Amino acid sequence: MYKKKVCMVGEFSVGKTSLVQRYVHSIFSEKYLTTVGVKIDRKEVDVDGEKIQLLLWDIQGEDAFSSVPMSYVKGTSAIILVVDGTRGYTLDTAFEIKSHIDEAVGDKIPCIVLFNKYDLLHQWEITEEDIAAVKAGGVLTMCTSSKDGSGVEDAFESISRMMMGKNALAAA
Amino acid sequence: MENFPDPVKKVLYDRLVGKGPIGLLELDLSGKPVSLYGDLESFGIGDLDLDVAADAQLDFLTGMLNPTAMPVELPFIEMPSGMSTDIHIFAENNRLWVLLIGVDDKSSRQKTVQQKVNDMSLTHHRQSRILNQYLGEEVARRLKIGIDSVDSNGERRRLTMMFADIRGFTTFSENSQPEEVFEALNIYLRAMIPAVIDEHGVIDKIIGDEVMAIFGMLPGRTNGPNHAVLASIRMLQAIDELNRARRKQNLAILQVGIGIATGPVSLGVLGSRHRKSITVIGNHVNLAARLQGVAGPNQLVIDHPTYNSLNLENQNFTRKMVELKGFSAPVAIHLLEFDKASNPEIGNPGCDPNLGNSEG
Repeated sequence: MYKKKVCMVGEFSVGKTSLVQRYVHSIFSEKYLTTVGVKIDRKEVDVDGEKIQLLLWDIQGEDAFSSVPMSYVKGTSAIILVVDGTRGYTLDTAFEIKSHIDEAVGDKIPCIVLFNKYDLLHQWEITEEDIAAVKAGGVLTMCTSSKDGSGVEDAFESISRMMMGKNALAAA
Repeated sequence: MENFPDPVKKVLYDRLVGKGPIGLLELDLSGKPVSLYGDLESFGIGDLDLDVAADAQLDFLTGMLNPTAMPVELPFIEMPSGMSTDIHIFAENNRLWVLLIGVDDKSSRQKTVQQKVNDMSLTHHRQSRILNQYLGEEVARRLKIGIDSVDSNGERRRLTMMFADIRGFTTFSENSQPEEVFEALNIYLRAMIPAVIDEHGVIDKIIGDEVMAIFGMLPGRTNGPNHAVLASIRMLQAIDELNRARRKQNLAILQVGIGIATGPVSLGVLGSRHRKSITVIGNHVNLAARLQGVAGPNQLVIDHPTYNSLNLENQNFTRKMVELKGFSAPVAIHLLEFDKASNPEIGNPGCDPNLGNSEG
């Protein structure tokens, strides 16, 4: 069975840990608990009959005082950039981190942008134009909600397919 | 250090390494385990298969064992046992070495601080969002006009900076329920911000109870110092009215101190697409902040260049010399004690038909 490392990165409190918790353990908590360093979770997925084990590196969020150490993304097979739809600036942070990752490990690694907190759509600062601009850059985007689970399975399935060189699911 | 007595070594070891467990994996260049040392059980690492590469057995080593890309340092990795661990990977003597140091204490301290800072940052964002619901469009519109007027390479301009905050707010917030604090803060800011907008100012920053505004960037009907002082008086007036209502409800009284300074500053626009902000740097910015520190409850303190540029009538400023931190010589200041009775002609700013409806 293939083992594939996937790094989840983004600003603090965008919902990286919640996405992993929803996807791996089917649970969600409203309470925000900051992540220090990295927590690694596993999940086995099936891509067109081929089993792969995802190693999900839930990496601490970037904040004003600390940036993501690039040693964490060494050897990764995919990057998931997580953006909080209710905080527009987290999109900029995601792409700042992405540019550091590109410098550290190259820009050929499969990448997906998740616009999270879709259940709070009425509070979103991220606009359709923002999402269109990301798509225009050739990056797959999906809208997710760890709270109600929407888009989460599809997002991880898509990144798994991309890592195996297959077409991702249709973008949300 | 080999010759040091054992008790000294122990102190140094504890100080440098901490009291957490330590483990060491010795691997051959293909990544297969050769020897295992230390307290690996504390990290949740049981028996490893010596015929299988360690990165296939241990998730945290996946993709990490390339001898040409050493050393690698991975801080605060949560191990299978749940222990937060600093991992160092080296290549030495045709071997790969994976050193594991348990850092639960350090991680938990870091977590406490990080949680507090991030919570504060989220609160600030939420607070800005609430404000924007009431005033955001106008504040944002003014800010955009200000940003658009600034040379993208930065420039130098003579501007008037104002800092205002609630006296004793920290004590109030420490002794009050969070809901009460945020309600008071929102009411306070909703009283303060229109004063800046009506006087053609740009809100530069709101940090907690501190408001920083810039005057002289946007066209107005008079100069920046006049607008800044008028805005201050409107603020003090608004707070006075607010307090009358709060007294009736037995709520804490909010008292404001304001500092203003005028002079040449370096002006630029910093930030990303979603977080553009005007940045003013210079001695007069620091001076305005210091003057706010000097101002007592319901006092406005301005520097001499601001005072000299005023053409307002009936302003009862008192001149003083003060020593300020960061300033080598005493600074001349002008202090206005807000007293509604002594400022009757500005007691009703709504009488001026030009206020708040003109950009030029």
